[in-house]
Amino acid sequence: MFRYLTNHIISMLPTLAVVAVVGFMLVHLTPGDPAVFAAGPEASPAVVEQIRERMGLNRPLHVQFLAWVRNIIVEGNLGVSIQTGEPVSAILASRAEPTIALALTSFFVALVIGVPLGFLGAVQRGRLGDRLIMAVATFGVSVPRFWLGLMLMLLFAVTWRWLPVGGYRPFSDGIVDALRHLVLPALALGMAEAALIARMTRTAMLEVMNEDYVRTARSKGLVEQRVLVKHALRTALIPILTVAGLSLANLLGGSVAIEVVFNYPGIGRGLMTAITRRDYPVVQAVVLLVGVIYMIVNLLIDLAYAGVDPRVRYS
Amino acid sequence: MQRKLLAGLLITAMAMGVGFAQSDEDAARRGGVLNVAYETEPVTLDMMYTTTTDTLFRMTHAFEGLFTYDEGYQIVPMLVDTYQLSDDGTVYTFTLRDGITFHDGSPLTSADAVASVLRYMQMTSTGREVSPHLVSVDAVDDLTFTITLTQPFGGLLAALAYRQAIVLPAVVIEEVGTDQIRAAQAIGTGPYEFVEWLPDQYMRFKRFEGYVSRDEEPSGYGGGKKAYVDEIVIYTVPDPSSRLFGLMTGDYHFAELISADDLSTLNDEPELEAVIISPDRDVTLFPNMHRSPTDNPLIRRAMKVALDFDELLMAGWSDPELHLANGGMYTPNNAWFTAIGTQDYNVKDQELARELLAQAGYDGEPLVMLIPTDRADYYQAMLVAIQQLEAVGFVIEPHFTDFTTVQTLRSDPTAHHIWLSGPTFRPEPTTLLHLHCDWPGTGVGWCNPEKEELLVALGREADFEKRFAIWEELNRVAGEDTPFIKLGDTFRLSGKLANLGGFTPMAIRYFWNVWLPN
Repeated sequence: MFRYLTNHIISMLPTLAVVAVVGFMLVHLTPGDPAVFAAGPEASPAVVEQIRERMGLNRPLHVQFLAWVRNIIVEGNLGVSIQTGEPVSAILASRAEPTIALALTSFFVALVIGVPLGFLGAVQRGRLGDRLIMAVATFGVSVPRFWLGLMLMLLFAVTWRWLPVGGYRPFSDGIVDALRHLVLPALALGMAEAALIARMTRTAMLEVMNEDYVRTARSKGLVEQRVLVKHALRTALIPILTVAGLSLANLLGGSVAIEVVFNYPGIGRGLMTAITRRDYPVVQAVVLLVGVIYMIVNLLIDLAYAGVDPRVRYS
Repeated sequence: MQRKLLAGLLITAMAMGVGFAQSDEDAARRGGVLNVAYETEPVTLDMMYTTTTDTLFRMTHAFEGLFTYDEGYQIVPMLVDTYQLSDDGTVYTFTLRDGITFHDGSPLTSADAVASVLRYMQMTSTGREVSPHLVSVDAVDDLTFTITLTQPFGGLLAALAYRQAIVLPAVVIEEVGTDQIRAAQAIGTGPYEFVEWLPDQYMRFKRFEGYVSRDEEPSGYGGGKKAYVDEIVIYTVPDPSSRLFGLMTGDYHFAELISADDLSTLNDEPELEAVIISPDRDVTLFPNMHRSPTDNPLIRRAMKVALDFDELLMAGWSDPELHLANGGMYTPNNAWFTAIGTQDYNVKDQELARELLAQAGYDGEPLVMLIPTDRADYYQAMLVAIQQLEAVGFVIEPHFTDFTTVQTLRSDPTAHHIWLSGPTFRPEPTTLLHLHCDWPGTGVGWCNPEKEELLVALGREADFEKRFAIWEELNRVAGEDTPFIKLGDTFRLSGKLANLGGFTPMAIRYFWNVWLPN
């Protein structure tokens, strides 16, 4: 197990290097000048030049890249924002709580809605219930998230006034208030992911429900519920885990659309702000971070396979 | 305990007892937290560092300048008490108001003013226009300082009234130099002091209890300022629907930039009120004056006469309340308005456009047009403009991209033929950027010997009548040369709760003298 883990982590390094290079090149090749953004549309070229010099952007690209990589490897330092001068690590840290809170709440919504709906769909296969569930799921996958967010906001915040229109409150200021601010964005994000998980659960369940061992279980006279949950669902969990894991990674990487609509200070919104400002060190760090999140979640999914499927062994 | 009480009473007495007339009414208006939704996140707290309005909109509550503008956009003193100009017109002597303190409690002295003026002239585009005329800035005594110029320069007070010309403590300037100020250094003299900034969430200000107001009645950015609300919290809310929804639920008392399509919602809901800001921006097409074929005035004129500005304005700012077809550089109600030079505006003469193109020998070379897509109104107007230009024979190659890219590419003369931007309103004509040869970059802007002479003369002259005559002449030159094609006056739609009191719609919104309903 330990060896497996070590090998897996070492094999991540080349991927991470590719992410770093591509991330760096993409932001630097995008037209648009951070100094121009900082100085504003009405600044003269001389003022812009003064700012560009201070940002260190007049150095050749490869020098900037090597300095960045060196900083990360040697000093474990992600640098400072060229726009605000704040350390990038502090910027990421300030986004951590809101992002994790929203990702976990949305993930909870996605699982609680997605798995039972998919399960029901499979059991009811071909009947009205199944069709209804699949229609809702298709709608959920297709509908733009920002639109869903705005509709939820219109209904729950504007019409009924049950929940706030947006914003974020840290848990340290009170759990109830924090949750009230989380509900709508988590629903909007979670419902889209739930649709995906429901479809995958249904397909996976249908595949195993015709397997011999399910028939055997039935012929042994087991109660249908037990057959479905204990025998069919457990086997179907592997593809569901894969999809759910990717969903989680996706949610942890932040959602620009939902965070913008709900005025929510997560990592997605931070990335958006950084891109608009061409704040290179911040964009690079977020790209790298999202890459790391995907890798870690993938590793966790691999490990979880062993938990649900006794045939999987890592040694 | 008693000492604390006394100190408290003293502070209250200071806050209540000075400044322009205080009354029971004022006491009743005090209190509460004002929540404002603004569309973009600022990049810095330093108003000298950037020209962007997102910084200005917030920090104008904390910082003040030596001069400012009143309701009619006339220059009035703010931190300055009195000033004199020497007979030869080269030495200005300023006396600061006595008893003003910064948010950290230190008194405002001439040393702060001198350091601030020097920093302003080094760091900002408008300040740098003064620096070639500058000999020195010197403190005379604690409250008096002088600015000595090489020759008379009429634009000095306008430059000092410009929004970036704020006064910071000299010790802060010593610390930061021309770097941007950080949170701990955001120390001004304004009626509200900066408290905190949570990026992508909000910026918070609280009443500065030591604020000493001017005695005059409030007028525009000038005159007396009363901090009625205890706190002002300005949220960054990028989505226009979210800003409107937040206003409808009462989460925000004021919401900036509401979509033109929602004007009817603001008008229909009794608890909401539309705020129309005029003037806002001069949305303008800028031809590249140094690249063929837009370097040819015939081509630029062909563009102008081909366009139907009524249609363009309707496409972008759908409600007639939100735009005005005006080709002049100022709105008709401004003292600087003149119709001279607007003879080609909105003539909608496609035949003439074709003739001009033929005269110019235009061979159908595609013209690269940089169009920012961040603002829906600009984008929609440009889609119509492209159709209209192509109808007379222009070949347009639109380059749709974000503001930051347009701003970067526009200063590269080889990257485009024409670009679109919306310069903000500037009360002083010599500070209009598009009149300057080096804006937005050397080799792109409008350079014309006759215009340069007029601009210098306009800067030197102090008498309004004489200045206006020069200004008319300058407009005539612009009318002949077609260095830019203004689409018209466009107004900004914002919204507020109907029962929010004391709000004045100026080009830059502010929330002193504003009170919340009880």
